[in-house]
Parts: sequence; C-alpha cells; structure tokens
Amino acid sequence: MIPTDMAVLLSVVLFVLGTLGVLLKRNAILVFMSVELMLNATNLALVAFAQQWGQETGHLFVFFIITVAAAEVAVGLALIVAIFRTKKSINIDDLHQLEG
Amino acid sequence: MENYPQLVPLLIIIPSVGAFLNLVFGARLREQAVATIGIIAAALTFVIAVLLYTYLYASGFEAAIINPPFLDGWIRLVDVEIPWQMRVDTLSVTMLLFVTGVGTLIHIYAMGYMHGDPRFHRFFAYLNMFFAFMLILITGNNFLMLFVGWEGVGLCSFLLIGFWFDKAKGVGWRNSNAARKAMIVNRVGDFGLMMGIFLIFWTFGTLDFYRPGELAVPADAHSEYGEESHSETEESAESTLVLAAQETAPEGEAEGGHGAATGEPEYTNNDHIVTDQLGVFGQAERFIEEGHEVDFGPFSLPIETVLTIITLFMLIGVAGKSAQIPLFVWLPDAMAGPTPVSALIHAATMVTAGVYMMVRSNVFFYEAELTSFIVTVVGASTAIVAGVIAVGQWDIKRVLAYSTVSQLGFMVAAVGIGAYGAAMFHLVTHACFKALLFLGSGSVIHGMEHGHHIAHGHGGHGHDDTPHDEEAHASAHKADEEHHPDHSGETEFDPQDMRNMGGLRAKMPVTYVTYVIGTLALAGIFPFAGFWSKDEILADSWVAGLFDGELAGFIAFGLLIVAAGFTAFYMWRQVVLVFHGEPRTEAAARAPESAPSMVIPLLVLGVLSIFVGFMNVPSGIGFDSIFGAHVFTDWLAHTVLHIHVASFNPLVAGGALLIAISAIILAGRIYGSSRETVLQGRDPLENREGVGSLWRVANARMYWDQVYGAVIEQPFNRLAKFLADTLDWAFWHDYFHDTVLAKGFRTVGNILARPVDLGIIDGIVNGIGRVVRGVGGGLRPVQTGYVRTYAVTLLIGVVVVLVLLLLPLIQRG
Amino acid sequence: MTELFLVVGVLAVISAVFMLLSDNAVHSALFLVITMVGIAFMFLLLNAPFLAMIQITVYAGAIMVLFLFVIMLLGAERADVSSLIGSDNRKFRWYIPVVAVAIGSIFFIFALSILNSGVATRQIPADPPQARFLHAAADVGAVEVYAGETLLAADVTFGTATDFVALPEGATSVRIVADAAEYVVDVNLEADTSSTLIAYGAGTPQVSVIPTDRSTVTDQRSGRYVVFNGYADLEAVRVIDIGTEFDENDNNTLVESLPFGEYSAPLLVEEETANWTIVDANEPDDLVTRLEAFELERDTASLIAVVPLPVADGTVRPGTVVVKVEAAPDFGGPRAIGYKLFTTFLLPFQLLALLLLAAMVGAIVLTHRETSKARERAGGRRRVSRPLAQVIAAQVGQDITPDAPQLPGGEGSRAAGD
Repeated sequence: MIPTDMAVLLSVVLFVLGTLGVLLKRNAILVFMSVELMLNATNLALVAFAQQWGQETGHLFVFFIITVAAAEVAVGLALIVAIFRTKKSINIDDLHQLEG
Repeated sequence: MENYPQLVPLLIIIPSVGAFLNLVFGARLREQAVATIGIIAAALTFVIAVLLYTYLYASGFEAAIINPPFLDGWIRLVDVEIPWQMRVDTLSVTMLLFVTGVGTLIHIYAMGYMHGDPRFHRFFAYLNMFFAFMLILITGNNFLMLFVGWEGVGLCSFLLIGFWFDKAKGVGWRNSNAARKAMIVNRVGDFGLMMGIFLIFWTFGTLDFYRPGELAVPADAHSEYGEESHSETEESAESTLVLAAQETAPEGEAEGGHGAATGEPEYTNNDHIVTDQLGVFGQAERFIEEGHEVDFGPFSLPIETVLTIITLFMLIGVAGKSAQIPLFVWLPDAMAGPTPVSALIHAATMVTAGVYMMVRSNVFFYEAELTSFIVTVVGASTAIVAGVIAVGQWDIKRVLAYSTVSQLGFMVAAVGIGAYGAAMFHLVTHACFKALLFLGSGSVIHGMEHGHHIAHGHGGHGHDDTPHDEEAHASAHKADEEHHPDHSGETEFDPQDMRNMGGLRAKMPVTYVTYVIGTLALAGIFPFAGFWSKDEILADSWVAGLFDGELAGFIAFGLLIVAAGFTAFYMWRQVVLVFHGEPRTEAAARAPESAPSMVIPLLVLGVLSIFVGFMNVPSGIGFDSIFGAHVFTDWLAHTVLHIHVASFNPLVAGGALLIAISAIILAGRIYGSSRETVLQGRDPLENREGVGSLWRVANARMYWDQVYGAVIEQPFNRLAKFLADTLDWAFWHDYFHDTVLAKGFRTVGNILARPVDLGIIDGIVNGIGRVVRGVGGGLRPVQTGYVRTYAVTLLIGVVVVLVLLLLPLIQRG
Repeated sequence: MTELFLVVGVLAVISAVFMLLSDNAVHSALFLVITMVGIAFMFLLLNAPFLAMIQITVYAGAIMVLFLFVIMLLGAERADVSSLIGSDNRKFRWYIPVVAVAIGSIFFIFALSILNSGVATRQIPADPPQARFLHAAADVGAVEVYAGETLLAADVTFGTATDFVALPEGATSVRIVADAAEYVVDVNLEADTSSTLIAYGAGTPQVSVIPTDRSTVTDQRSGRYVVFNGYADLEAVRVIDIGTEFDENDNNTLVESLPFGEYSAPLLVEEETANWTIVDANEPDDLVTRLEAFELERDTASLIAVVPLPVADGTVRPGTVVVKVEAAPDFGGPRAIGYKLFTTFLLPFQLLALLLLAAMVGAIVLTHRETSKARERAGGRRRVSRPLAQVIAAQVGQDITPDAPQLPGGEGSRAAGD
C-alpha cells in the first residue's frame, strides 16, 4: 500500500517538471509532450486519491482524461503538422502573428 | 300632391348637378349642350316651384317642413341641434316662383348673350351654382341655412362680377376690383347678419324659423287685420280671415283627407306647444307677451331691446346684400359683370334676399319700433339718393343699377313702415320689369356692339363676334370708369354709353317696345305692374303717416313720392336717349335686332310686366271681379304674421300717377328738344340754372366713393401701411426678428456650439476615445503573440488560485 | 512495496528530467515513454490495474508512437536546438525569473499542503448501516415495515425481500405491521455493515438479524451463500451437496449442523448447477427438503432460509426461501469501472465518444493537403475576378494582378527563412 502523500508528491514533482517543459522548451512537439507529462502527473494524483478514499470516480476521471488527451494529441499534432507545412518551423517563438 | 314638398331637395340638387356637370365636363361640350344643361336645370326648378305652388293651394296653404333624405340632421352638438330643414310656405314659394321663372328666362337669354365666350360653360356653371345657393337661401327653415345661401350667392355674385377678369388694357383689373368691392362690402353686411344670428341663437336657443307642427300664423292672428286699413270693407276683412287650416278645410277635399291622414288634432294656434319647442318667431311672440328678460350673464335686457339690437344687426346685413345706404356702393360697380348676371343677381333675385329676410323676420321688425323707423329712413333715403344719382349717369346699365338701388329702397322703406305685403309685391313686380330692363339694355348693348363691328369695316360677318363682344364690354367699362366729359366715341367706343346711341327704335323694334313697357312699369304708370306695387307702398306710407301719425310714414311718403318722380324722369330720359331721335353714331345707325334667344325672354318678361301687377289689386276699384282683390296679400298672409291689406287711396294713386306722367313729359321735352347738347356729350340739365350743380353732383354719384375713399379707404390704407411698414417690417422683422430672435438664437447657438458641444460633449466623447486608445495602447505590449508569455500568465493565475484554494491546508501545519 | 514505489518513482522523475534536457526530440519522446510506463506501474501499485493497462496501451503505446511518428515525419528531431536558456531573444529576459518564482511557488504550495494536510492518515468516513427485510413467516400476510417512524417498505408478502436501505447507526426499533398485529423488534446496527432482518416462524413471527456480506467475492468465479434455519420442528439441519444424483461418494457436507434460528458461515462455492439437500442433522436419512438444479452464481451474495411452507391442504411442510443480491465488484477492476461508466457516467461517456469523433475528423481536415480542388477553386475565382481587376487597374492606373504577393504569405516565408 503506497502512502497517498508520497504518490501525490511524486505527481507534483512530475507536474512541475512538465510545467517547466511547457514554459521553457521551444520545440512545439516537446512543449506538447510536456503537457502530456502534466496530464499524467494529474492522473497519478487522481488515482492516488481514489485509492485513498475508495472511490472509483477518480478512476473514471482518469479514464476521461486519457481519452481527451488522446483526442487532444490527435488534433494538436495535426495542428503542428499544418503549422510546419506553412511556416516550415515548429519553433513556438517564431509564431507570434497575434502580437498586439 | 301631398308629396310634392318631398321634391324640395331637388331644388338644390338639380342646379348643383347642373353646375357640377358644366364645371367638370363643360369645357369638352359644345355651347349648345352646356346651355341645355343649364337651362334644363333651371327650368326643372321652375317646374318644381310650380308644383309646390299647386301643393300649397291644395293643402290649404299649410306650410310643409322637409327633412331631406340621407341628411339626418346637420349640426349636432351637446344641446344644439340645427337641422337641415327646408320650408315650403307661401313666402318661400313666392320667392321660388319668380326666382326660378325669371332665372330660367335669363338662362335662355344668356345662351344668346354669352355666345362665343371662351368660358361659356363656366358662366352657366356659376349661374346654376347661384341657383342652388339662392334656393337654399329661400327654402331654408333656419337662419343658418339662410346664411349658407346668403354667403353662397355672395360668392357666386363675386365670381360672376369678376367673370371677365382677364380683359385686356386693365379692364379685367377693374372688373375684378368691382368683384372684390362687392365681396368686401358684403362682408361688412355679413358681419352684421352673423352678429344678428348669434344674438338670435343666444336669445332663443334655436335658429329655426318655425318648428314642425307650429303655425306661422295662428287663426286669431289677424283679428285686427282689416281695422288698420281704413278704407277696408267688411267683406274683404272676412275674406282675409280665411287663413287657418280649420276654416279652409271645407273648401277642398284634399285638406280634409290630409287632416284625416295625419290623424293629428288640428290646432288653430300654438298654445299647446311649450315655448322651448317653438321657432324663433313663435318664441319671440311668447317672450313679448310674457315680458321676458334675456340673460346676458352680467346683465339682462328686455326682449324688446334685444329684438331691436337683433334687427339692427340684421339691417346691416340687409344694407350690404340689398344695397342700401351706406353699403350700396358695390351694386353700381357690379354692373361690370355680364348683363344676364346684372339682370338675374343684381336686379331680380340676390339683392332682394335682404328684403326677403326682413319679411321673413317680420315678427322681429314689427316689434322693434326703433329699427322700423331706421329701416324706413334708410330705405327712403336710399330710394331718393339713388334716384337722383341715376339722373346723372350716361351708362345705360349704371342707370338701371341705381334704379335698382332706388327700388330696393322702396321695398326696404315699405318693410320699415310695416307694409310687408307691399314690399313683397314690389319685390316681385320689380323682379319682372327690372329683369326686363336689364335684358333690354343687354340687347341694346349687344346691338350697339354689332353695329360698331359692322360700321368699322371689320364686320360683315354677322354674328361671328366673339372677340368683339369682349372688347366692347371692356371698352365700355373703361369709359364708364373714367368719365371724361369730352367723350367723343370715336377714339374709345363705348356700347353702353347712351350718348353713343339714339334712334334705336327703328333698328330694334322688339327691344324698344319691351323696353318702354319696362320703363312704364318701373315709372308706375297705370296699369303696368309698377303702378300697383309702388302705389301700395306709397298708400301704406301715407296711411302710416297721416292716419297713424307716425313720423316714419311722413318721411317715407315724402321721400318716396319724390323718388317715384325721379324714377319716371330718369327712365324716360334713358328711353329718349337710347331709342328716340337720330342715331348719334354709326354703330347706333347699324345696330341690328338681337337673336331670338334674347328677344323671346324680353317678350315674356314684357307680358309679365304688364300683368303681374294685377295679382294684388286693391279692392274696391272695380278689378275685384276680374282678378280678385289683394290676392297676393292674402296668399302671403298665410305665412307673414304682421301683414295687412293695403289701402287704396285714390288721391295718393292719382297724385303719384300725375307726378310720374309729368316727369315723363318733362324728360321727353328736355331730352327730345336738345339733341345737339347730347351730341356734344353733355346733358341738357348740366348747364341749366339751379339744377346744373345738382346734376353734376348726381353725375359724380354724389361723391359716395370719394367720401368712402377719404373716410375709410385712406385711413385704412394709412393704417395698413403703418402696420406693414412700421410695425410688421420695421419692428417685427427688422427689430424683433433680427435683433431679438436671430441674435438671441445665434447667441444661444454659439454657447451651445462652442463651450457646450465642442467643449463638454465632444470632450466627453473624445475623452472616452482617448482613454480607450490610451488603455489599449498601454495594454498592447501584453499581447506579445508568444505562446510562452500566455503560458506563464496562465501559470501565475493558477498559482494564485492554488494559493487561495490550498491556504487552509497550508495553515493547518 | 514502498521500496518498489521509491525506485519506480525516482526512475520516472529522472527520465522526465532527461526528457526535458535532451536535445534530440526522439530521445525526449523515449524518455517520456519511460516516465509513462513508470506511472502505469504506479497505477498498479495504487489498485488501478485497468487504468495501468490503458496507460500503457494508450499513452505509452498509441500517443507516444504518434509523437515519434510526427517528429520523424517533420524531421524535427533537432529543431529544439537549445532551450530558452541562453536564447538571444532579449524580449524574454524577465522570463526566467518569473518562471522560477512561479514554479517554485507552485512546488512549494503543493508540497507544503500535502505534507501539512496529512492526507495519508485521513480516515474514510463510515457508511451508514444497510439493512433489508425478508418476509419468511408463512402465517403472516403482507406487512409494512417501519424503521423508527420511517416506512421502509409497504406490502411485503411472504417470500420476498425489500431492497437494502440505509438506516441510522445504533439501536433502531423496527416495527412490522401486519393486518391486525404489530411486532416490534429492537435491533442494533453497526456502521459499514449490511444486514438482513428476517421474520420467520409459525404464529407470532420471530425476527433475527443476519449479517449479509455484499463485498467483493475475492475467490474467482464464486458466489457467497448463507443458510438460515427457520424450521422450528427440527433441532438442526444439515446441508449436503449431493453432487451427482446417483453417486454416493461425491457427497459433500456443506453445513454439518445448523440449529433452529441460526445461520451458517458464508459458503464460497464456484458457479455450477448443483443439487443440494437439507436433512435432519440428527437423522441424516430424513430428508427435510432439497434444492434441485440449484444455479450457483458467481459474484453474488445469497441467503437460503429453511422455513415451513404452507401447502394446499392447510398443513405445512419444510421448504426454502432464497434471496440473492449482487456482490460488490472488484475495486479498480474493469468490471467496476465498466459498471460506473455505464451507469453514472453514461452521458459524459457518450459526449467523450463524440469528442473523439470530432477530433478524428479535425485531425483529418487539418492534415489534409489541399491540392486539386483548391487550385480549381482559385482558378474559378480568377476567371471571375479578372475583369474586375482590369477595371480597377484602369481606374488606378496601375497593373493589378491576382498573383500579387499577399501580406501574411510574405511575412511567413521570411520567418521560415531564418
């Protein structure tokens, strides 16, 4: 039986790492992967709490998150492909046409 | 026959339809068709009038009040109801008969006279329109309908006087000026009539003459009918008492059936009707019996005083419409209209409306003694003044116009002395012979124009004289206005100037004969119509003055008998100047007789002028068996309450006849012997000692127009000029508008524009814009377009939310 | 177990760090796969086997393969030449400190709150006791059952049981109201338990409380059976699984002796069609009643009550009343998740399916290369617009061609160049 707090702490560490990736990486794909990492960290926390409280609802949420993530990855990668096709770049710092 | 009164609305509808057709479609129709429409409309009204006459005889002179179909009431207010009711009684039928009869003849005459006029159809439309309004005036059962007709005929008069408003050389301007003069002068009179009507309404609460079921003349009204006339025999007194329906009932089966049919009890008086339900005249009688006080809010007046005021106001209206002093000045100028108009409107019918109204309101005038006196004085002085002026005129129509004024004076004076029957009698006879004279003068003028046309080379085309006709009229009027004494007739030919005439007897025989008949009738020569009617007036005034000792009677008799002499004089002067002697111009020498359409009415009217007087011959002079005695007075007595049978005074009649004949002889001698003077364009009287100055005054029309010009026109113009130039222009426009309004407006506008609009409102709007732009500009750099900045912003937000959410957990430790 | 957790956790963290630090995107993706597998292992440790499998298949399998595929497709392995640190972009000088503070604070907040809250030591709040009523008294007609003043069930007839109802914890007065009579039983119910209140016996019914275990049946393919003796004429009964009818040797005594008013311990038996007999415990040859072709179901919890049954001639003979409920599914297992998914979360599940469908269509549309159709459309538009372009050209005096460079295109190409 894993102590919940340890599991949640692990998820926090992973979440922070994912956040760092999102904020610091320039490659759009890597940023995307960091987002996935953040989602996984969240999933871990949810599962840990579900085990703590004996509630399967947490598992359901994880299930939904994974599914949504899959959809998101499909669309997101398609977007990246489309962007790369027009801009020949997936460096997010090159994409600032919306500058005010 | 009982249903004949239902035809009364047609009296108005038929001429209205005729007028409408001619006005709308007339321009596209031939003259023949236009004239046919007009004449048929007029003739139909005459037929209806005759039918109504038969109805009255059949129903025992019972008045009928008709509510026209499809016109349920007229004016309805809270407690005011003025119905559109039409009245058929002996008085209105009298008016109807001669108006429609004479009018129809004049329509026929006009067909010839107006031949070739470019606005032929409009002329007939106006005539029919006049008919419609005149018949409204006559048949109306209340003062408001009378007023509608009164104004309507005034309008038609205006339109027809100014009918030739577009004549060349300024003549059209004078014509329209004459029309305006008639209109304006009549407005003065109408003001008086309106005031009278308002006062009547205030006093009686209604405007109806008589209400349905009310008897105009109760059975016992004429108890003293014969006593006033001293030469009256008892027989006649009895016969005149045959008035009420009850007494006439046995005479004819029709009335019996009528009474049975209605099933109503036959009343011989109005005692069963409450005062409120009576017409104005019935109420006036009641009020006088009761000594009623009329409440005017702050004060109240006795009924007699109120009636005096009402009648004085009405007298102003009469003076305007019937051309009495001081408002008669429009009538001579109204001769600017075509001659049929002068004959129909300004001699026979419209101008008699005032007399008709006074006779209709005889109850008022009978009770208002002061007014009666004033009426007598006005009428008598009008008669003498107009008679004098007529002597001094050269224009053939103008003489007749003043004659008309004079004869209207006779009628008005007759009303003043209470001789209502005589006034109506003279009105009818005068309508006949004055229409005859006017039409005759028109025929003369027409002939003169033709003669002129033929004489000056460009003629020879017979009746093809349209432009010439107009021209002639134009020049006639021009000459008439200018009065230059050295009128030669060579430069400006005037077909109406009697100096250009002479010797037409041979050229226009029918016209001459009828004209002489008319003249004799007007002059009052036995046995022509004028003799009987004028004598009746004179006899009544004689009785009033001598037997009743009334001052009015003396004044009337004195002035009127002189006026009668003048009448004979100026009329014979005219006959001599126009028809006798040698032609003074080539036009006169070549004047042809007029067309049959013009001559036939002359003949008809000539016959009428001879015989119409016999309808009211006094009793006791041998005509009773032939014509019946004072039939006309008896006829009117069914409607006119205060009528009385005129006395016949051989002294008066003989004296008047003597004066008239001697005046004729005098005129014949003066003008027949001094043809040279006339040829020079001067009157024989002009240089004669003693009368010369009088003639010049008469020639100048007694300076009435000049006096009016000086007393009214010039001050009025000066006031108007002051108001226009000083008050309106200088003060209101220049000062008030420019200084106060414009400058004030500009000042306020400047304040609103600069500080308020530009400063505050624009400042607010621009300030908002500037603030928004500044804020937006300041916030612009926030939108870097880089994903990472958005991400970090989001993260910061997440941190804040997390801190807030997790704060309890953090603090627990 | 904790050691395993620590090892796997450290491995996951390390591979995540390497994912961030790796210059090659393919390496990053592979490190991320390791992290995800680690997380899947964590799921297993956390009683979520189903999610662990999904994590492996969907994430580590499908999604990461997709990533790798795109990276290689675009040839973007080296695109992320350097991280922002050391970037020459002067715009983001403020960026590193802000990120540091934000990350630091988020880590600090999370860690502090987790440690302070003591989440591991938190107790799960107890469920209220569940109870049902089984009518097994043949002499009593339909009854109404009240717990305290609350109506539990109305019109309960012989041989039927009510659903489980949550009752307050502690002593509860249960009233059974028959046509004329009212029987009151005081029961004491504990939290987190399920009980069956059974009324049995001839004449005045007796009421017993039988604990009913509805928790997950841990034995594979087994059901849980409890036998209750409510037949007063016998001292005790014996329950025998006679196996095959005619084989004396495969008899298996399930319950040796069950006195009147007693209930047996739960019997865990595998699912099959069985033949059970109930005999007098003292006289094993004396058959009381039998359960022929008795369907034993797995993952159920059943109660078999031996009670007198009325027969047509007015006498009674022994018989059985069986009530069965589903046992709780396995926590974190596919059955539990499926159960929840198709009951409580059915609507979100359907919406999710729609979302997936939309994502699929979106991905196809986005990656679809506009080729022949687009060109055709452009050609059509040019045909239409050429006269207009000529008109404008004539008016402004300049040559306007539809092929004039567009503003975004020019800028984009320049960006792609550097």
